[in-house]
Amino acid sequence: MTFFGLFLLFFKIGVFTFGGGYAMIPLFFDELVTGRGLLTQPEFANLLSLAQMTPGPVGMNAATYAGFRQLGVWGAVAGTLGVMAPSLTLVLLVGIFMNRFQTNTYVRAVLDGIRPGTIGLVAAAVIFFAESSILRAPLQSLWTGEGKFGISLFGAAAFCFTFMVSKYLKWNILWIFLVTGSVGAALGYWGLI
Amino acid sequence: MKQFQRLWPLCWEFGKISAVTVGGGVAMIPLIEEAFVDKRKFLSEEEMLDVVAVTQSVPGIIAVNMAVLTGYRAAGIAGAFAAAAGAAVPPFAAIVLVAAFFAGLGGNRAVDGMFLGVRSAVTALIFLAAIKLYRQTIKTKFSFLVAVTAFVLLGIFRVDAVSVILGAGVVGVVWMLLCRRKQKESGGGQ
Repeated sequence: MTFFGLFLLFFKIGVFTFGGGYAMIPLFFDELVTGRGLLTQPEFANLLSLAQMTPGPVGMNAATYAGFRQLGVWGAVAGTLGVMAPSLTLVLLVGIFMNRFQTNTYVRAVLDGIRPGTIGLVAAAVIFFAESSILRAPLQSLWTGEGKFGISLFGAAAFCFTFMVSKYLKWNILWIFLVTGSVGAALGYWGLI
Repeated sequence: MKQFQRLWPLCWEFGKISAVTVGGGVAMIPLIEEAFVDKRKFLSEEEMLDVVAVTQSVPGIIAVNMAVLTGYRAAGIAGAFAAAAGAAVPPFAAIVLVAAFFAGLGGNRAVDGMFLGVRSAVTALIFLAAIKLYRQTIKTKFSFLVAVTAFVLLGIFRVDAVSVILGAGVVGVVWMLLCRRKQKESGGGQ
């Protein structure tokens, strides 16, 4: 991939992102994993996990990281600029014509459709992530019979743990990663997963 | 010039905010308010509410959108670019360091185990985010149907995300036109 190619790729992702970080995941997945085969599914999940752990917006981190993996520092520049460009052009225009934009009936109707649609995107992101953590094979293997379907016990346990401590105890995301990450590292080191 | 003097504060404050927000997006709102409404008084409370409302209804990364709009309101187009640059630098530096470090770590069993743990945790966090969004957004049968259809198309049939988003926008317009027609018909009968 060239610098300009990466820029365009992430520009496209930026243009179709509504509702922020998690809703971008299926877009990233289409472009980087299924579309161009730039990354494997576990690599993709690692990328997004790292993007969550580092400071700054998840979408931008993911673009920077994916760009770096392709072309080094220049790739990171292309990814970052590409994913920011829609905000700097489209959003700036909207900001300038703010009042007319917000009261337009058609703009509101389009958004009334897209907003619930982004929930579908976030829900689909749960499946993509589950396929590279809790599940041992893509969900489709249940009905296509390709690949052996199974569940990772450790993955499922870490999922339940995170769900509980995040929802009920309001644990900080970094503590959660510290616990699940170090238990995973220990189990992996002793060959238990 | 007043606007010119605001460029560096915009860049610096957004850099700080972006460096301390992990997870991104909406978590930045209170920090932006504190920096630009309370402390520096670049924006009024009302302008800030406008910025938040618009960032949710335009494409792009929420954090960058907020930087662009806040910067624009405070100091025009140059302000928008200054704020966006500030927001971009800390995550960029962090990621390049992390990426350079992790590039040589593939295939190690302990590292693979660590990532499996973190990935499972992220799955749960996204799941929680989906539930929260669902509660906030799904208020009508129409929005419920759109959300479920989008999910099935993406998650089960693996339709590409761009088509689903464009489709959802078109469905929104069609629905609006249908509602309008119905209103007219019932209005005409009276």
